[in-house]
Amino acid sequence: MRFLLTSLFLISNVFLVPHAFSGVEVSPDIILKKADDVRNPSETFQMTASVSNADSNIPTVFSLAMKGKDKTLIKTLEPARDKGRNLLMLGEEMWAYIPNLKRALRVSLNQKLTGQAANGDLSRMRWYGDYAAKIEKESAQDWTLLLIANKKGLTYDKVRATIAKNTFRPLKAEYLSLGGKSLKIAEFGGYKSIAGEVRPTEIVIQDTHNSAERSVISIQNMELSDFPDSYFTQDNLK
Amino acid sequence: MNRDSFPKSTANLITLLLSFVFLDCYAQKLQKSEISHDISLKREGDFEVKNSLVTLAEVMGRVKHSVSSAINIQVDYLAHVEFGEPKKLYKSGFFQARKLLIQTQLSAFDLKLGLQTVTWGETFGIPIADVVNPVDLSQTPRIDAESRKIPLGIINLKALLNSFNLQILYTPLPRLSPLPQSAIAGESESLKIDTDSNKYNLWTDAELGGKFGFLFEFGLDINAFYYSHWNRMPVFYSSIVDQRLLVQRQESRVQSYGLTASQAFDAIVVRADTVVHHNIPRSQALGIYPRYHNLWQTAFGVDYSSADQDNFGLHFQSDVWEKIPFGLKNRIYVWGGSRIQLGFNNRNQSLEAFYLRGIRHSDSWLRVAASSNIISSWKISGEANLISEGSDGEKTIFAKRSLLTIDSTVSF
Repeated sequence: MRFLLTSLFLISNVFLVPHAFSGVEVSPDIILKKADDVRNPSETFQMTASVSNADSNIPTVFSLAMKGKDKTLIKTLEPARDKGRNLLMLGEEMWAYIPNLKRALRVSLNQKLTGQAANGDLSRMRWYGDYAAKIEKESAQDWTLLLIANKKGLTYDKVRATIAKNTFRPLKAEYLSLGGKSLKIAEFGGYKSIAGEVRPTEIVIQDTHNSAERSVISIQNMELSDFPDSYFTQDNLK
Repeated sequence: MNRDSFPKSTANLITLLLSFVFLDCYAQKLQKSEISHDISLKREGDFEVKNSLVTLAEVMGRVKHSVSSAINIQVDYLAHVEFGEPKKLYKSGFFQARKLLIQTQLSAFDLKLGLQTVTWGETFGIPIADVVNPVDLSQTPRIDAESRKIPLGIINLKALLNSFNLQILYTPLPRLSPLPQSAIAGESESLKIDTDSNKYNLWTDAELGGKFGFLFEFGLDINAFYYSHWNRMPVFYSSIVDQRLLVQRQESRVQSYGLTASQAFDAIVVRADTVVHHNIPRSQALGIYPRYHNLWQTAFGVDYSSADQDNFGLHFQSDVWEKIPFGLKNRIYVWGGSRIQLGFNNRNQSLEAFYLRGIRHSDSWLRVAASSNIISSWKISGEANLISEGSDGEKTIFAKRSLLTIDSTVSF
C-alpha cells in the first residue's frame, strides 16, 4: 500500500502538478511566451541582421520590419548581388521581388533567403501561438519543451526548445520533422541589451546530419518602430 | 521628364555620370535614405537585322528618402546612351524618371502621388493584367516588360483592412505609346504619319479604375480589377488630305475587367490572370476605319521550387478575339510552354529558359538567359529571345524578332 501511494505521489508530481519555477508554478505556455519576449519585442520592431554561411565568405545583410506575429518585410541590403531580393510574409503566405522581372510575385513556401537559415528563422521569431507546448524534461537549470505546430505552413513541424529557468532565455532549439527526425539545431548566444531587454544576438544554426552546413545569424541592431499596416504590401518589395 | 533626344557625345556621358556621382554624394548625406545604382554596358539588338546591334550604356538609379515615419520621397531614373551612329530604328538616347513620387503611409492607408508604374497580375510570360501604363514602342524591343512601361502621373490610393485590400487609381493626363523611329522615318511628301504622342487633355481624358482583393486564410489570394483607359496598341486608319495620304491614330476608350489569383501549396504555386478588354480597335486595310472587338485574355501557370531553389513551371495562355457585332466567328489563339530556372555555385551562376508555343498555330517564343557574378557587385549576363510570328498566329503580340542582349552590370 505504501508503495502504491508513493508511486501515485511520484506520478502526480511528474504529470499532474503544474511545473514549478523558483517555488512558483509555471505552465509550458507561459514559459514559451516569456522566452519569446526575451528573443524579441512582442509588437512592431525593426531589425538588421547578417547571416553568414559556412560555404560562403560573404555575409548577407537583411533589414527586417516585423509587426505582430504575421507581418514581415525582409529587404536584402548586402551583398550587392542579392540587393532587391526582398520578401514579404503575411501569415504563412509569401511574395518575393524578382529582380530580373522587376516585379513582385507569389512564391512557394520553401523559398529560401540564404543558407541553413530558413525564412522562418528570421521572420517568425515567436513560438507562442504557433506551437502547442509541453514540458518534456526538466532540470535544476532549464526546461526542455516539446513544441508541436498547431497550424500549417510553419517552417518546422516540431521544435524541442531548451529554456533557462532563472532568466527564460532560450538556449537551444532542435528543429524536428513531423515524424520527430532531427533536422537542425540552433544555439542562442551573444546575449546583449538591445531594444530594451537582454536578448540573444547570435543564433548558430547547424544541419544535424552535415556539420559543414552551418549558418550564423548575427543581430546587428533591433529597435521598436511603428510600421503602419500599409507598409506590409507587395508594392513595398520593389 | 521624358526627353526623346539626348546628347550622345562622350563629354555629355561624362557630365551625366558626374551628375549621378554628385546626386549620390548628396543623397548619402541624407539620413534614412535607400540608395542604389546599376551601371550597365550592353550590346543589344536584333541579330538577324543588318546593323541593328548597338552598344549602349545605361544607368539605373534609385533614391528613396524617408522624410518622416509616414512620408517617403522616391526617385527612380534611367539614363540610356548609345555609342556610335544612331540606328534610326529606335530612339538612341534618353533620360527618364521611372518614378518620381511622394508616398504617405498612415495606418491602413497608402497614398502615392506622382510618376509611377503599376503592376497587376500573377503570371509569368506576357503580363496581360498590366493595363495601367502604356508601353514605350520607341525603345529597343525588350521582353522585360516593366522597363518598357511608360511611367504616368497617377493618384494611387490603397487601403488595407485585415485580409481585404482596395486600390483606386486616377491618371489625370494619359499618354500614348510613342512609336518607333522607323515608323516616323516612313514619312514622305505624299505620306504623313500622325505621331503626336500628347493628344490627351488633362482631367477630361483621364484614365481611372481600381482593384480589390482578399487573401483567404487557406492561402488563396484573389483580386478583381477594372480600368477605363485608352487603347494601348496603336491603331491607324488613313485618309487623303490635300492630296497627301494621312495615316492617323485612332484613340478609343477601352474598358478592362479582370481577375487575378494565386495560391501556394508548399513547393508549388498556382497562378492565374484573366482579363476582358471591351471595345479594342484593330487596324484594317488602308482607307478603312478600325473594327472594334472584345478581347478575352487568360494566363495560367503552375510552378515548382526545389529545395535548392531551382524552379520549374508550366504556362498556358489564350486570347479570344470576339467579333463585334455579335454573331461573327470568334478567333481563338492558345499557347502552351514551360519555364526552368537553375542556380549553380551558391547562386553565383544562373541559367533560365522559357519556351512558349502556339497550339494549332506556329507562333513561338524562346528565351534563354544566363548570368554569372564575377564578384558580388559585378554581373555579366546574356539573353536571347527568338520570337517567331506564325502566318496563322496572333499578330498583335508575336512579331518576328531575334533579340540578343549581352550585359555587364556593376551594382552599388
